Amino acid sequence: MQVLPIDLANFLSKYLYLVITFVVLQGSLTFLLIFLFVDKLLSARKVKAEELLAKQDAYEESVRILNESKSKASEHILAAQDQSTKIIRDTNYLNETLQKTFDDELKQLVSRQEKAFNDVAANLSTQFTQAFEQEKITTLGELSKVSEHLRTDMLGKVDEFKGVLEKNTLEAENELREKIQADYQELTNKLKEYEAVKTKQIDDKMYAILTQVTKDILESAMSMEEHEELVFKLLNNAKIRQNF
Amino acid sequence: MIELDNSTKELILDEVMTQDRAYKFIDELTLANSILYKELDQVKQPHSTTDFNDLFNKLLINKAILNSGPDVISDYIQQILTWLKDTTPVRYSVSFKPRHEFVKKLYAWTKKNLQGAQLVEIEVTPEILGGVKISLNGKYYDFGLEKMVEQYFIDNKNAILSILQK
Repeated sequence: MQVLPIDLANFLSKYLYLVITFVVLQGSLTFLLIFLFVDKLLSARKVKAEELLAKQDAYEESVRILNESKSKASEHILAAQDQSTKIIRDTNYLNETLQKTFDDELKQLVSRQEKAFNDVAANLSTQFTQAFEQEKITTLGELSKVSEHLRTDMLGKVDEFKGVLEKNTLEAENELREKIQADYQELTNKLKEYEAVKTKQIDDKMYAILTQVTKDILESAMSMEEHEELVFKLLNNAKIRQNF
Repeated sequence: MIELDNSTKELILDEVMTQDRAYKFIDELTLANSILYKELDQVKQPHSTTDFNDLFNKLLINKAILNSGPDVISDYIQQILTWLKDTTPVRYSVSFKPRHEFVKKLYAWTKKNLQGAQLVEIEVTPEILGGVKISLNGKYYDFGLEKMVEQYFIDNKNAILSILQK
């Protein structure tokens, strides 16, 4: 039987632990590398998923901002409508036709403002969608910036819209107030004229009736002799008073 | 020529009294004047009895006139016509048709109370209701009941209105 040469045997007995140690270290290193590789792979997938999730969140956030802005704008519109309605309601002397005219004008104004706001909101939404479609957004940082920009821009538009709405409402109020004042003045003048004419007509009619009744009574109540006596009585009185 | 004196004028005015009758008397005087020179048979329609027969008789009582010729009488008539046409009446308005007695009384009252007044003219104006209106020497006096009633309503407007509004 062939045995290991003595030298080799001696060498092995002397350095075996070193060989074993080397093999163990080599295995561990390999295992570590494999572990790191797998871990890296898993991490990359996770990041990808998070990016997708973040994009989804950004979409949802932008939709939420749009809805919130629309809601705020609607509140402003409703407040303006309420205020104007209150003005109209408190104006008791307006007739129905005039009230309807103001109401129609107000509705048209609100409708125009609402359309303008919806156009702005739709425009921003389109721009945001297009940015995604064109894949300009590649990192979470950029996504955040766009989202923040959208928020600022949108809220700015809402403030701007609010300002326009307030200005228009104020103008509508002033216009309404002037119209009311003018109509009231005109109505008051007409009322005074009507009252004066009517009062005079009533007075004239009353006097005419009373005078006529008195005349009829006097005329029919006197005999010929009484008429003749009256003539001389009046002539003598006039002579006494030295009328002639 | 015979002058028309004041007593003759008064005689005429007392008989005539009103402007209407004065016009009639003027017509008859004119007619009488026109037939002065005609023979009786030349007058186609002999003048019959008039409203002024008594007055004519009173005027002819004057012997001077009776014994005068047509020229004197004509001149005398012309004087009467001229004077009568220039006579301005006092104008009265009453609401009833005056009876003759009323006219006489009114003439008498006028003669007594209104100096210088001669004839009267009476107009019937039912609208005055009663009383009388006078126009004298360009002045106008209203003693009609219509004016008095209207004045009463004007003076008492507020009181009447307050009663009506209750």
